[in-house]
Amino acid sequence: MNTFINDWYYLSIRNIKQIWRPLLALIPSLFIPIFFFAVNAASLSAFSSLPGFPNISYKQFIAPIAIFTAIFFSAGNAGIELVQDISSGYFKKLVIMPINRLAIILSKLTEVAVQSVMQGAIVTILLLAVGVKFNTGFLGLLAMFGMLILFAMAWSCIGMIAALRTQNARLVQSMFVLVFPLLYLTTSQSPKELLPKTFATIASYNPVTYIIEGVRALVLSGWGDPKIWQGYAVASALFVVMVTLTLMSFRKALK
Amino acid sequence: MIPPYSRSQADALAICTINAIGTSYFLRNVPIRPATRLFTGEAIWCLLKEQMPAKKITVGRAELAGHKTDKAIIVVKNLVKTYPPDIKAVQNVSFEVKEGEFFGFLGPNGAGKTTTMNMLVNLVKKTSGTVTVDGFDVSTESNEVYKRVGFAMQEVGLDETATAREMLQLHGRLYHMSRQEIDSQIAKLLKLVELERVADRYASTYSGGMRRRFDLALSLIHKPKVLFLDEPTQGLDPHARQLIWGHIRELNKQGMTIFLTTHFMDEAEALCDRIAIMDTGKIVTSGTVNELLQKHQAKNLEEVFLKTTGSNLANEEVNLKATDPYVRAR
Repeated sequence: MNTFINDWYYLSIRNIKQIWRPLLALIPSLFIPIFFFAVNAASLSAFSSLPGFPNISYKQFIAPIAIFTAIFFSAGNAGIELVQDISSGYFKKLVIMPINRLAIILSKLTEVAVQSVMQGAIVTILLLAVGVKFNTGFLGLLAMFGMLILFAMAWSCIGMIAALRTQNARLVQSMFVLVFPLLYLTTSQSPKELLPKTFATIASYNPVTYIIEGVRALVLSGWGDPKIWQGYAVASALFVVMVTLTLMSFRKALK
Repeated sequence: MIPPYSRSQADALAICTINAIGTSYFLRNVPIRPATRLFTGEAIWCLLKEQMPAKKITVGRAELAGHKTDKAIIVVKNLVKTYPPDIKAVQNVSFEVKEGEFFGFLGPNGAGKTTTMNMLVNLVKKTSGTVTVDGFDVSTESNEVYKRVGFAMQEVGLDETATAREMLQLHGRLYHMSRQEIDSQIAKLLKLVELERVADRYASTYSGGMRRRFDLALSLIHKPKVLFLDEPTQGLDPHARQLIWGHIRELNKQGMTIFLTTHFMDEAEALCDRIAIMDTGKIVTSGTVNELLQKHQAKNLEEVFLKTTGSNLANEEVNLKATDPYVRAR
């Protein structure tokens, strides 16, 4: 096996094992999206009768958000695990091995991807069980996971950059609060047309809006919706930029 | 005469034999409970076991066994580390360590020992100077250096969510060793550091002494030529310290070059062939223990240390600032 692939593979296995060690740590990132979905679908169902709302139930409208939130929450763990490795000194052990440093970062991203698929799949099954329909079928589901994984990996880089730059666990954990403005200053709860002008403007500058709209298009519309490729374009751009910044922080951390 | 059994086989056999004999013959007329007889048998066995030499475990490179040469395996020339704005952590340090040597690197807190050691493995980038390990430049040929060195750091960095065996296997894989090579080295290392029984437990359950011993094993998985030990007995009780001393002495006997930093003068005196003392980022004296005692007209190494280092807490503060990520990030 090529040494780079070898390093990436074995580091990924190590990181993936951390996902369920301890198993209880998985619960909050699964509970929160399901909780918000259940509460919002029940309490805000009257929204769907407003003029300008698409001709679907509110439950169907916010279903993609539940999957997105599950992935959004779980992706933050990569930074926390990295700062734990740094503060324990384990990170230094990895750095002084004859391994490609890119493999260390890529293995973290692989862990994020695996965890995203696992958690996203659990939420998807629950949504299917409560009657949510996916208009683009199984292929649409795959495309949706592809877009969400790209975004999850990009988002996880924020935690990793904070870990590498500050080496402070509290600061990395506090990055979690960014989820809320990024998630709620979008079209996650309501179509853009129904948002007040200021919020609609902010939402149009928030990259997360394009991911949400892309995922929603895959669930509610069809393959012809341009929001799908727009979502992919934003997710891919974020991925490239954030991974580059993470690698730069990695180099800086060793000076 | 000791039969040619392995230690564990001999252990079991002897306990059974002694207990059987004790029960059936020596203690047959003694009015004691069976449990007491068993204890007596165990006590006799413990005495016997102390006399029995343990089988030597070779965890280093076989070709290096007992190898001591005049070849310099670590060469440091004019090494400098300056942190912004102008904190001189290491100032123009030069020294050599010979193959198979046990080299001690002493100094008060904040003297720059750990910074120097970190530069020797490229964990901290040097400002200027050159460092070669086994002929390879640490800056330009770092992967070749990493293949040849093991590093047990001051902070015992373990993956708390993994078992000792899993971590050793992972590290073996990351050093690109074959599965058979890894399995054989793991068996030897766990035996060497006496952690065979807890190898499948999570590292988070280990005591301080076990963590240090395991960290030592982890740094040896790839049979390094040079072992860097940064305060390996810090925070350990005297028994655990003796155990670690025994392990690293044995490794040095097997031909491994050891580079040790420590605060304990007795440790340096007991283990090191040669010692360098560092203060305020400079090497202030070096030589064998006897040379240092003569040169500084001292009774022991502690006196040499006190005479040569006039460091105070302010230096420690300088080094703290230099390594603080918040300060460095600015």
